[in-house]
Amino acid sequence: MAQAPPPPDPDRARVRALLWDACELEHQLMLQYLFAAFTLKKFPDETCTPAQLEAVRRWTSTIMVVARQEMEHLALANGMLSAIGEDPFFARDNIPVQSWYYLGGNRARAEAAEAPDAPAPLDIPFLWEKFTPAAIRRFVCAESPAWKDVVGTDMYPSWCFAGPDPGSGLGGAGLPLSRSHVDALSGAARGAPGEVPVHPGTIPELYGHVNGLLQAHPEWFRGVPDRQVFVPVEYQLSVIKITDPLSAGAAIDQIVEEGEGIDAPPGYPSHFARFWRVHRELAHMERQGFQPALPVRENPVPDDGWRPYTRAVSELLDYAYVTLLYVLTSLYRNYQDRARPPYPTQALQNVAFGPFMTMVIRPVCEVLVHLRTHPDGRETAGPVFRLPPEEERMIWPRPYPPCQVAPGAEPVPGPPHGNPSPEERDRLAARLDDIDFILARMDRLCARVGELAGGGESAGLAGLRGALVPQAPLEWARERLEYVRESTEAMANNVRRLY
Amino acid sequence: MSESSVTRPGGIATILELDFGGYFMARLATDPDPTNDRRGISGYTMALASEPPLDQSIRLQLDPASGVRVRAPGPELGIRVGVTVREVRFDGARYPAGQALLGGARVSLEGANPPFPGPTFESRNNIVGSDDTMMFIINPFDLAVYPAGEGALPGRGEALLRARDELDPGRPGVRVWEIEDPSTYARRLPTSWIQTSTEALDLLQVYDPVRYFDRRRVWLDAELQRQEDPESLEAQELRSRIYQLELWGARMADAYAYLLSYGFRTNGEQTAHPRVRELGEVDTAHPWHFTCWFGGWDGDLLVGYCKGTLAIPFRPHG
Repeated sequence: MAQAPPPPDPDRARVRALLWDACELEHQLMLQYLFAAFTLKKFPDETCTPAQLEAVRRWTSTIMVVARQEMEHLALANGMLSAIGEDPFFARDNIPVQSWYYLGGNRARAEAAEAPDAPAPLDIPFLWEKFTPAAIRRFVCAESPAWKDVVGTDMYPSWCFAGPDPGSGLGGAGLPLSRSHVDALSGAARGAPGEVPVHPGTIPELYGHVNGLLQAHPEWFRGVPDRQVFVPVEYQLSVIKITDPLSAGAAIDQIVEEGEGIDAPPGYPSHFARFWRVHRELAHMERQGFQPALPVRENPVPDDGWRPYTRAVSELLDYAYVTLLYVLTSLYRNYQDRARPPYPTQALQNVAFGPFMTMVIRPVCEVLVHLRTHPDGRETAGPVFRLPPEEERMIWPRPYPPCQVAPGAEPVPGPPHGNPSPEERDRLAARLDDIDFILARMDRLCARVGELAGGGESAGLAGLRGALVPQAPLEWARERLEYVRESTEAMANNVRRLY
Repeated sequence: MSESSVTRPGGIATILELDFGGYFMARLATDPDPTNDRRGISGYTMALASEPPLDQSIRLQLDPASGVRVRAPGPELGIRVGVTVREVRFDGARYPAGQALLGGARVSLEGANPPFPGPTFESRNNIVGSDDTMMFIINPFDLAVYPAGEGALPGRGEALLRARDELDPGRPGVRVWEIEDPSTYARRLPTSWIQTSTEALDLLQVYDPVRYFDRRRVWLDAELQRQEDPESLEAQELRSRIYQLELWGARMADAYAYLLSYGFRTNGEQTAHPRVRELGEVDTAHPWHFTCWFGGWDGDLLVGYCKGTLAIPFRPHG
């Protein structure tokens, strides 16, 4: 007699949903920080002296450090998913959006138990916003510990908790509410009324719930350390292998310590402390006429009115970003620590970590922020890292968990872009796991960036010359794009050689 | 390749050896900055606002007209960029005639690796090398030895000795990123990378790189305190250097103790000036042997030490 399948595990569905939410948050925070960092000036001009540019460089560096550590957190959250046999999660809601976790009401609820007198926290919107005092204050709030941990200290961000302040960049943005995978759960997985709130409200609390569930279920860890993507300690990063509840707990401690500085020693450079220092230095330097950032538009999504060249570079960046997400998803899904023919892991790892981010994504972003959007305007473009639904389908976890948590309970709703049939899922999976598919995208990227870099008096060069802001040398931008082309070609060659 | 007239019976050549050493400069961007970053943002190296952009180039000699100088307190510490011939030997023994001509001669790595104006340690963030294992080729490799002197180097025609090496002799001039099989240029990769080299530390008399950079931090703090205008360019540049030491001090200390060694036989054009040929017969048909290490890398001052030997098949006249 065939054994009945084990009953669905509501805890399992819940931890998966919490980790998916965590992945989305880390991914979204990282991209917003990168956006702001890229908007900081690289050349002096009439509103930023060489002396001021030194401070601007330090702020850019600081924001980049935090963004890299958000990448590390995204990697660690994915490490937890792999450790319990789940697919990686690199999908996300597009920005601008209002995250459930950063709704003031939810944060207040999370704090209420320990600090009933705490002032109401404000909503913290997720925006594509250039570096401004308001933006850095928003980042401070996003990484701030709870009110009870900062009140009375010399790092008390009053603007995160006070009433609506039009100058603060917080509150009243009227943005669409983000999806929440926990919210999409039903029945026991979501939690009974009156139990732990669905939206923990703060990041440490979210990870606390994840940790509690992982510690309670050592049987989930399938003991395949060979499938853990890891990165050795370098560049303020440490992506450890997660193989059991102990290592999962260590990863979570690392995440909340690096972010909010929870349980960190005094003076520890948490994200909150790093952003606080930038905020303080900026406040000290704020004076008439000082403009540390380029005139980058808020939420610069291209439309028909944009300069064709700028629009093309913006689309090139989106294409490169989605390609990177494909590479990461395929790498995490198929990772093998030991090199085995035909070496897909080694081929993809040579692209994913390091070169694609530093030699493709970043330089294209840096050129993009120096390109004017409209023929008659001075505002410039910015990297909005669009992830269209049809592209997100490719990286959505498969099979989407048929999380029927209890007899008679509602199944988990499908992915936002529809629940594909089993055949469609298989087709998408096969495509993403085919290195030729990745290579074709790299080849296309290489060709396109070559056109945009231009040579001689090509259309690409004319477009670049027309769109570039005056303070950015044409040769700098052209060389930057040409170097991207060369590096992309060499990376593709490496993949072909290794695979 | 024809048999050399200076090769002894039995095929063993006698060798003219030039030992060289001195400080080099490399104003390079470091990971995780893109390799061609002009200012340096994420990595531990940077071009300060008052300095020319980073250009990656390995400078064994410093052209006074380049606008590039060693940052303070480098000169106070006795750091002066210039790699020169220290000793000349023939057949393993001191060679006074060679020393008279070549002693103090200036050694230079020449050529360009576009878009960079000079030779570079090639990596492209692990695409054609490895930042993790320091597997960088020197690209291009065009070594020249000029007469001793000060100031700008004389014209290329004045080089006493010159040796080039091609990445792929079958495709001279090919760009490294166009070469699909890295084994083609494996001979140009470092022969070793020592993470804590006593050789470099001993030569530089710096036995604790952490303390070395701690002292630098103290010096920078003191300089900052001396600034009358806390918002001046000088003050902001000092703050940037302090910031880098705070963020990357451990990495800089690690890199200071690194020793990266190269050794290969040159496969390209080799030439000797008539003044050298007056000493004896220089074999330009057989490969010359280049060995060298780079160490004592100071990521704040962007300088390090280079020491090596160029060995040339040679037979004195008479």
